[in-house]
Amino acid sequence: MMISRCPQFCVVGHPNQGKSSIVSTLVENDSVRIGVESGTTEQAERFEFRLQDKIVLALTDTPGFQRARQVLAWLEQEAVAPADRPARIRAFLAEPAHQQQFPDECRLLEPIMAGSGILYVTDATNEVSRADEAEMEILRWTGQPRMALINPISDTNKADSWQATLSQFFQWVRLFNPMTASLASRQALFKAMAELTPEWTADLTLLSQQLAARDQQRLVDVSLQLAEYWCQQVSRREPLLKLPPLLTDSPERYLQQQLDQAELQLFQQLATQWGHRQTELQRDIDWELDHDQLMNTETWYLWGLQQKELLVVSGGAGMAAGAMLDMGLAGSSMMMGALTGGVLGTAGGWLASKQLPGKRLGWLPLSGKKSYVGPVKHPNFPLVVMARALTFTQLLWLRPHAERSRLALTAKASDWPRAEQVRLLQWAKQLQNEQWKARQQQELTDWISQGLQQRLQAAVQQEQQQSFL
Amino acid sequence: MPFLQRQAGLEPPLPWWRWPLAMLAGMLLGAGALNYSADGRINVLLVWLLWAGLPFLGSLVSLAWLFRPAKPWLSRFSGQSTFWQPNARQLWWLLSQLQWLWVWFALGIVLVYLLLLLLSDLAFGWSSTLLLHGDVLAGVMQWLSLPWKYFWPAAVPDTAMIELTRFARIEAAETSLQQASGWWPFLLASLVCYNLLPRLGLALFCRWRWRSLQRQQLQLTMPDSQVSTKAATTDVMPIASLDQWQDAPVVSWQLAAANSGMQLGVQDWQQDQQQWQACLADKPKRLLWRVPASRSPVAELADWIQQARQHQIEQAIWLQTDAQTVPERHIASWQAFARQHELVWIRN
Repeated sequence: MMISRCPQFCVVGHPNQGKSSIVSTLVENDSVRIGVESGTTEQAERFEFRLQDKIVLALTDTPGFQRARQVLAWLEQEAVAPADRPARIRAFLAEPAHQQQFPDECRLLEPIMAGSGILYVTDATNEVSRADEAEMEILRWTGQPRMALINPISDTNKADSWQATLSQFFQWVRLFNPMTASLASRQALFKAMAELTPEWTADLTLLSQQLAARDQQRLVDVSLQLAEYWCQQVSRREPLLKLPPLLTDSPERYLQQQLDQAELQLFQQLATQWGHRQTELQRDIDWELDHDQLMNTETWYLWGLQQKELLVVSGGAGMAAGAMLDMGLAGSSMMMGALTGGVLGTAGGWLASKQLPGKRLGWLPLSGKKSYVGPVKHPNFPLVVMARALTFTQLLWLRPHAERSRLALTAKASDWPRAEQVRLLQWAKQLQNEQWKARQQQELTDWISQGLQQRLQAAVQQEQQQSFL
Repeated sequence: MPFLQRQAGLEPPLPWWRWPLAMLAGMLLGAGALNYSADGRINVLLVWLLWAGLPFLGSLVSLAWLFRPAKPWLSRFSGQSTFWQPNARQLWWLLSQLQWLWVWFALGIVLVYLLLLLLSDLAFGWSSTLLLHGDVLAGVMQWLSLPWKYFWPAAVPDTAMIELTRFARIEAAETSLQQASGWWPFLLASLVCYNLLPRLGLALFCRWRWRSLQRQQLQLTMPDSQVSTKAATTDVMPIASLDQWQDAPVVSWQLAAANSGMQLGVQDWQQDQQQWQACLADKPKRLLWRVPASRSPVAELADWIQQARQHQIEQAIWLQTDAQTVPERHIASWQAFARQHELVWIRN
């Protein structure tokens, strides 16, 4: 038996049994081609998990057996001892004509004979046929570590008879649903794969641990992202001067567009990060904007500074000028120049901030008015933003990569406990009143993280019994 | 770059001009600190404080900061929103960038110092109201010089030089150039050991921490996405009713319970091959393939269909559905198979 150093598995079986779905879910990438029709996978494709530049798992998706009985007939033409069966397989592969005559079987047997293990997939919908038996027998002849997966695509009332048959050919038989499998299910499968041969136990155990660590890190990262996104949406305001010409008369609509766009970008960003590049979203937008309170005006100074900023900038400029004077006096002024400059600069800034809008100092405008649309002050708005973001994140997190349907987003914050709603609204108020500090940001991030964790745990507990036995 | 336009997890971009700006700032500070006092001396103690003492304190504060790292001020220049919080890897990357900024700052001071040493005369001295004798200062200098004492003894100020280079405003000092410039090795060594090296160490540590977090990330490599080379079939599939094919011999494929006609796919290959060859030898004009909908078509069947076509036999396919048949999966597969092999589709 030839075992490769790093764990490698070929996913084989009859066409249209869900091999590519299983690969897509295990490698967490929805760009693995999956089709409802058989024959979607035409070539063998290899997917590798790497950690610190080392391959910890490789999966090869294959088109599946096409001429299993013919191949078995060729193998059985000569009587061989069981120990010589792998050599007979190699002889089959070595025949020049077979690459053309049996291309699919050659593509799936070559990596197996190079040291890959075998994951045999069946949907157990029909009775075991002669072709199925031929496939299993060929795989047994390879002598490689092998396990079988029953993929419950449809009614699996024949799973028991399949299990009894599969047990004669494979070391392990497992039920695995790639359309519902959570991380826990995948980890359990990796654990079973790790037990096929001792050479692979360490790497596959490490992979399982790394996936858990990766998920923990993902929770931290997405909490930071959601906190940032929520803060931006709640405090979002758009200057009227920047409105597109067509929307000058409807600034509310522009604000709505910006809110929509921000949400869509967040969702797309998360989907791309988590390997759901092909996922289509279905969103029903219902921002409650409270149009009466959307328009705001504030005063700016000099080059668009707020009063506080003006004091800081003018104080800093004064201090810098004073410091230059100190340097010129070679330190004999004992830094009094910088100190005096800072005080004078700040005082000057304060005086300038007291000027009425429109006042100029020569050509330099001292102050003016700037109008904005936003932020949205409707009391439901912060709750809606957060509910939608959390719900989408949860749906996406739990979505297996084999799933190809549209992701529909509907969310309600009214199901939240009142205390949570109040807390979120308090944060929103602090944000909009510019009283937001790093401490609150951290509290918000922790709140999101805890909320997500609870939702995910509840969903995983519900799923565990369905997809993996 | 707004957060929504960046890929989270990547390090945020910082402006390229931060390095030359840091170096320029260091050069300005270095040149500014070497100003002569009114007495014609450069106060070495003040320069040491600016170049080594305060930066060393800053390095210690930075080191303490690393135990509970928070978002550094440098992140304001990364184009991120006010509410952006870096994850662990990004945080250590920012911290390493901050330390490298200080390294460049120190290098700026070193560069301008070396230039001025080469191109001008620098006369150092020291002045103090509280230190009446040079002995105390000599002791302090011995301690400060510990890092390089054994590698560069000339950079350790001795008592004689300390006594000779003291100056006061009300007393005219007579000091030779050699004595006055004797402080330069000490200043250079202090600059390197108390400013540059600590920051370099911190920068390397932060970078190591960042790289180790990067390496711990699980990565997936996969083949480039390939466009399917199978041409989309646009041919209309001929459809017929079963009545039109009643006279055709029926060949059942993988249907174990078939009552009539030839059965293929349920026995060994050799037995099937014999049956098939016998069937071809009869030279039928047409063949009706009866297939189970819930089993996928395979190339084994396609090979026989191809052989029959080579014998000019017209063929049709008749799908047998059951409770397990899923139309969009099973029937669609067989219809695609029928189109590919130019089979007539029997309407149920």
